[in-house]
Amino acid sequence: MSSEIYQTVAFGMRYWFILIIGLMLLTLILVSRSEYRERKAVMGEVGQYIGYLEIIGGADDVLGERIGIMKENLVGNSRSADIVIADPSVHKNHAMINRKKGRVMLIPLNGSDTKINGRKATHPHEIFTGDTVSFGEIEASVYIKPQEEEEPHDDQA
Amino acid sequence: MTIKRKGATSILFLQLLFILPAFGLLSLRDGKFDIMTLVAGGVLVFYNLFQYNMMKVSFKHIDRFVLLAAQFLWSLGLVVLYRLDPELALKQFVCLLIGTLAMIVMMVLIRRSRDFGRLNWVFMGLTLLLLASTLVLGRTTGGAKNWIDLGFISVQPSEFAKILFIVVSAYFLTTRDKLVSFIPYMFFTAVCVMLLVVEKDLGAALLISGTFLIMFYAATGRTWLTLLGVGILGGGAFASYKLFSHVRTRVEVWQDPWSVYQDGGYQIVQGLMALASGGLLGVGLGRGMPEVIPVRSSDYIFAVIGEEFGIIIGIFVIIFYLVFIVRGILIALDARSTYDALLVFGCTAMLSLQSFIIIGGVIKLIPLTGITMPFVSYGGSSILASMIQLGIIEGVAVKNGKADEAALEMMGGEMR
Repeated sequence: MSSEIYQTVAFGMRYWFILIIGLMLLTLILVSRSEYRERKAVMGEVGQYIGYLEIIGGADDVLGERIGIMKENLVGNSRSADIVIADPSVHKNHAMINRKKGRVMLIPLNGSDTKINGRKATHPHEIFTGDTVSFGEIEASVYIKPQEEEEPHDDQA
Repeated sequence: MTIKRKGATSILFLQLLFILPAFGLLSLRDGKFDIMTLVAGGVLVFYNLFQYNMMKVSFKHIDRFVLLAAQFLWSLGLVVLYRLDPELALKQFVCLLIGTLAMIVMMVLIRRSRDFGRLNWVFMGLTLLLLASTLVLGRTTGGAKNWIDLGFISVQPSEFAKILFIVVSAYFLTTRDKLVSFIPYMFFTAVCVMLLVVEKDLGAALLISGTFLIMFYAATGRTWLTLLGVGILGGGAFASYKLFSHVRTRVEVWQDPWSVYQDGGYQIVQGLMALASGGLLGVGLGRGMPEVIPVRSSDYIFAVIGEEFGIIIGIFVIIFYLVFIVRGILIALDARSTYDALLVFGCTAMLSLQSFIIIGGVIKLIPLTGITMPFVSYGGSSILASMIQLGIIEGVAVKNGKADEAALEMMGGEMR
C-alpha cells in the first residue's frame, strides 16, 4: 500500500523537480548576466581614465573628490564639461587636459586663472603625477597612471 | 562608481527546494519513513550553504556563479548516487570534502602561478610517470587499464595527469613563439596520448588530444596548424582503429549496438532504453530500473538521470555545464596574464570536452569512451580532479577581482 503512495508521490514530484531546476537555471543565468554587464560597464568607464584629479583645496563640499581624467577633457563648471568643478571661480570653459603622444598637457583657455604648482599658466604645459594644479580657487593634485598599462586602451580608442 | 554584486540567496534557496524534497522522497522509498535519508539531505544542504558562505567570506572575489553551477551538479549527482546506493553517496561526499580542501589549496597556489614555469620539467616528468605507472601497476576495469590499487583506496592517475597536462601546456604556449620551440611540447603530447591509447583509456586520450588542440588554437591562433593537428588526430584515430581491436570494437558497437546486444552493445543499449523509458519528464525518482545499466554510478550516470528525472532535466544539466563554461571563458578573457588565461581556458575546455564526450557517448552521438561526468559521476579521483580544476578557475577569478577592485579604488569607487 505505502509503495503505491510512494509511486504516486514520486510520479507527481517530477514536475516539481523540473520547475525548481528550471527556475534555478534561469535565476543563475539572469543574475550572472546582469552582474557581468554592470561590472563591465563600470570597469569600462574606469578603464577609460588615464588618471585623476583629487581636489585638495577650495570649498568644503568638493574637497577630497576624485575626478577621473580621460584622453580629452574640458575642465569647467558647466554640466557639459568632462571634468565638472562646480565652483563660481571656475569658468564655463576653463581649461583642457589632453593626452597627446603619451604626454598629458594642461591647456588654459581664454586667459582663465589656471596655475600649475603655484605658477600661473598661460601656455600648454605638461603635467605629471604629484603636480598641483588650480582652477580659480580650486586646487587639485594630479595622478597619472603609468603609461604601460594604458597602451591597450589607446589601441581600442 | 560602485559595483554592487548581486546576491545569490535565491539560487541557494532553490537549491534547498531541490535537495530536501529529493531526499525526502527517497526517505519514503522503502515503504516506511527513513529519518537517516532526510538527515543526509540536510547535511548536503548545510554543506553547500556553509561552503558557499565560507568561500565568499574568505575570498571576496570568488566567482560565485561557477561555484553555484558546480554545487548544483554535485548535488544532483549525490541525489542519484544516494538513490542507487547510500554507501556510494557517503563515499562521494567524503571525496567532495577532500576536493573542497584541494580546491582551496589550488586557489592559494594559483596566486604564485608565475613560478609554475620553473617546475615545468618536473611537471612533465610527473605527468608521464603518472600515465606510465598504470602500465606497470595498473588494474583493468571496464576494458581500460587505468586504476592503481593502493590497498585501502584505488586511484586513477590519468585524472591528475590531465591537470598537469594543462599546466604544462599553458607554460609552453605562453613562453614559446617559434614553431621549432614547440617540438618538445608536441612530442610530450604525443607520448601522453599514445600511453593512454595503449592503456585502452580512450576517453582520456581523446580528452587530452582535444584539450591540446583547443588550447593550441586559443594561444597561437594558427588556423592551418590547428587544422593539421585535427588531421593528425583523425589520422591517429584511424590508425588506432586499424591497429587495435578494442578501438574497432567500440566503433562497431557504436554503429549498431543492437546487433551485439548480448556482449559489446549491452551497455549502450541499456543506456538508450533507460533514456527512452524516461522520456521527457522521466519516470520519477526511485521508480526506474537503473540496476540493469552497467557502470550506472560513474560513467553512465547521465542515463540514470535521463530515466528518472527525464530528458528536460538532462538538458538543464547540459545548460548548467554551459553556464559553467561561459563563466570560465569570461574569467579567462579577463585574466591579467596570458598564463593564467590559458590555465583557466584549458580547465574550462577540458571540463566541457569531458562532459561532451561522456554525454555524447551515452546518447550514442559519438562512440562511447569511458570517462566520468565532471562533478556528477561517482569517483574519488574524478571529483578531486574536477575540484582542482574548479580551484584553478576560481583562483584566477579571485586574482581578476582583486585587480579590478584596485583599479576601481584608485578612482575612488568601491566593490561591494
